[in-house]
Amino acid sequence: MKIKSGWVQFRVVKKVSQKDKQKEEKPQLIEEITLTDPCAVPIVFHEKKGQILKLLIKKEMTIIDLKHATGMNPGTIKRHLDDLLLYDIIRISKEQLSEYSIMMKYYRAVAKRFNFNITWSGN
Amino acid sequence: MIEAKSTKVSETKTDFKISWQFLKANYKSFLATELFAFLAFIVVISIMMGILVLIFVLSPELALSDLIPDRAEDREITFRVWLIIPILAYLTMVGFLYCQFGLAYDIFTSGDMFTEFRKAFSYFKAHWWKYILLTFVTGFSFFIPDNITHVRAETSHWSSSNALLITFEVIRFLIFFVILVVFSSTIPSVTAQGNLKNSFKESIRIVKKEWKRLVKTWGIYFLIFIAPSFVLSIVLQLTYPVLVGTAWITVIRVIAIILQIYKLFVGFPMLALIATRIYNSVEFERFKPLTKYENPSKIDNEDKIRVGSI
Repeated sequence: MKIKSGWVQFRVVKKVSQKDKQKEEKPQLIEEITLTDPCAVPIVFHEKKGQILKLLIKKEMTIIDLKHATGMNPGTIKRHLDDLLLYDIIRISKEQLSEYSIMMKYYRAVAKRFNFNITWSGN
Repeated sequence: MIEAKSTKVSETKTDFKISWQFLKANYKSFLATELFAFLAFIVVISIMMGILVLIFVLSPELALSDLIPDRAEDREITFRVWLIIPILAYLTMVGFLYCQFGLAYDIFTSGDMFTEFRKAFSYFKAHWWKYILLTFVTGFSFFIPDNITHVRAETSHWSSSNALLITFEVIRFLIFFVILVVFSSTIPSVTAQGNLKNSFKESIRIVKKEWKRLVKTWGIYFLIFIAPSFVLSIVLQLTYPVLVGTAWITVIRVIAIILQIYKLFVGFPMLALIATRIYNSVEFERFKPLTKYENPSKIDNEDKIRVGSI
């Protein structure tokens, strides 16, 4: 399995650890999800985070893949991903060793569509 | 047999290829760490000097002769005490420079395949004293400048001292090579598992397992990064009587400075990346990390981020 990772191609080693197997067994992407945390609203509607989220709905990607797709700095992408992870909008779909012994972490959106169910009460 | 041989060659080639690509992609982090290390050197010297000046100003009974005595013997003792300042500054600088091994480890194991300058502080906090101790084993030959800057007018004629200096350079070169082959994995090991004693054991295990690859990789590394300044040093030693008084001496000294910068700013990060890649890719019996908090990369990955599940 060859994965293009920007400036270098890393082939994923076939040997998958038990931890990775468990992660792979998880469902890849659900149809829709309802978020109830009001703090998640600015996260999803943030321009750059939204751009990243769209890409992660299409397929799982590493930070280097996202760097090439968005043109953003890896550090900036990392911070956006941390925010998205914090509100369970995305997840780490798998961690695999490349044939060059480099750990590769893949990110994936948890759902194709996000609904918000937020109630505000003055009482 | 032929297949096995070609695999080893390609491993060495891959070591350089991968390390160079990661260095290019993360050069800002490595450069910032190096510049910060030099800044730390200057800051430590300034602080120590400032404290000395403050003591001198606040103690009226102290005279200038107490700081720089008149008697030659006393002066020698004072200078030895003063030597503590640059040594402390040097060790701080090297501690920070070694954090580049932390950055390299971060690139290879965090899963994100990049690193940031701020991570250097996490690694410094976790391993500073181990890095400084390992300097005495692995680093001195790297950081001590070549004899180019020490060639003086007194050596403008051929003498036994020239031959001695060249012999010393050759011996130093060979010792450094052997040290690098045997102990290059100690720093990635200490970064990964946190125990200094175990890092030496792991390093020996790697040597036993992959000594051919180590010799080849570090041999090529020496040819690219260490040999140029070494050769220049020897050339200068040999040609000094002829070149003395000419502009060539200045030219050679400028080249020497450029080579030192190249060695430090390109060679040292490459050393960190190659050593870490070798440590990660060789299959051997590894020690378990002391605690997960020994490794800043793990703190970031496991504690700060919740692996998404709903």
